Amino acid sequence: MNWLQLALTIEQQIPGLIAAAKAIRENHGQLAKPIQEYHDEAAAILAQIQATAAKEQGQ
Amino acid sequence: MKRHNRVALPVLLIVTLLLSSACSQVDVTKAAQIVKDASITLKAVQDAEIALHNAGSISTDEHKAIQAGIAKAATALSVANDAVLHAKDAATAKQAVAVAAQAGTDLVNSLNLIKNPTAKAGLQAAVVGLQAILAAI
Repeated sequence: MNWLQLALTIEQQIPGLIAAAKAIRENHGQLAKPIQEYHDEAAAILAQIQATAAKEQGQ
Repeated sequence: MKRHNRVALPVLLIVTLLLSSACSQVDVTKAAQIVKDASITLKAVQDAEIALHNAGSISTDEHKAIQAGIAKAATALSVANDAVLHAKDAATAKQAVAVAAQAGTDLVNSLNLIKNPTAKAGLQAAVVGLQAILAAI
């Protein structure tokens, strides 16, 4: 991978990183949400991470 | 500073900051929010690692080991997530989040396996980029 390819790879990640930052910012703007909602949202994300990790390890 | 530390430290910093920030809170809701933030961050790191692997910069063996580390971190966060939900006071919630901080160490250990310095730099850039965005919030 040369530096151009590296730059392209990073650039491809920017939408995902911005989406993550936006989700965190919105999360902080919703302090009044019940704990159950935070829990369920985090659980869904963590389940997705686990599923992806299992899939990637099975390659 | 060793090269691998330049990758490992930002990742550790993000996870530790997110988790340790909960320790300064006296509110269980804040702890729940921090666990969710840490989960979002972990997903972003996972996506960046997969992109680097798909680009050929991280070997399959390294990739599988890193994904195992990410899965381990996700498990630690899941335990904390459930503990915070059932915490009856802020101290209990704080303790649950503190235990999950081990996830940061697991993640760093897996990232240390990357041999390709360019891949390390790429992943570091992705993590530092996210770190900068987080700092601007």
